[in-house]
Amino acid sequence: MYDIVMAKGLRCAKGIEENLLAESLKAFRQAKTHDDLEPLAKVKNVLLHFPQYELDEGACRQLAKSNGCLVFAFCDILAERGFRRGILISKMRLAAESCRKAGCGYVFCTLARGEHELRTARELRSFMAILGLSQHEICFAQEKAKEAKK
Amino acid sequence: MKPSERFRRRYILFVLTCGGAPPAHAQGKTIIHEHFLSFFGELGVSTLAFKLVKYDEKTGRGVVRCGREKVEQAIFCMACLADWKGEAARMEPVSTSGTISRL
Repeated sequence: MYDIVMAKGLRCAKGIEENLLAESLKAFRQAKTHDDLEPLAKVKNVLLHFPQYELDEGACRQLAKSNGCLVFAFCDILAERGFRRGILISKMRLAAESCRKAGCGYVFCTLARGEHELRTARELRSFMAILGLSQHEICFAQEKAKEAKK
Repeated sequence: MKPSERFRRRYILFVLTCGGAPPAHAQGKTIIHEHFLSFFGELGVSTLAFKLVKYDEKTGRGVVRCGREKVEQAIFCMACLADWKGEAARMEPVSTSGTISRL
């Protein structure tokens, strides 16, 4: 399994073959607002990270057309607490459902900025399972992460 | 209760660190119980069939029990522990088994 991280020089957690640095991935893009979503979703093979996870069907369909993937980052969950964390997990679940319906890809990673944000492969798989992904979809997400390396 | 009537369990071996070192027994127990309680709530902990089976303060290793269908939720809960009262904390799952002896 591969992980995408934000910081250099981080060790690989248990079960992670290689840490891919987000800034070295050509297609990695971060959307800050809703207005950034549509133009970034049109980039070919994009890995789109939108920390609010409030995607509409149009953006998901655009991602599917451009063969892009939505990035789900574990560090976004760690940054929240309590009720807000619960709301964020719900938004992620809805975003995963939208991706499934539109047929676009998804990648699960930590986007860790430090050693304390790294998570093992087992924990990332439980993250995917919590969001309602089946075993087949978990394998699909892992394949997409592998393709991001190329 | 007959063995066939008991609910199916899974045991998860974990390593707990707080501030870079394994916490003492009482503190470790508090961290784990309060983290699971704040994550799942009272009803959720009951549904999870959660129990801290054992914890070794020297190595930071311990075992928690949960229901067979709730393993993914328990592991996700462990992964969500990032800090405790201002100190960096980590609860890393090591392995899962249906019996304690095989962990």
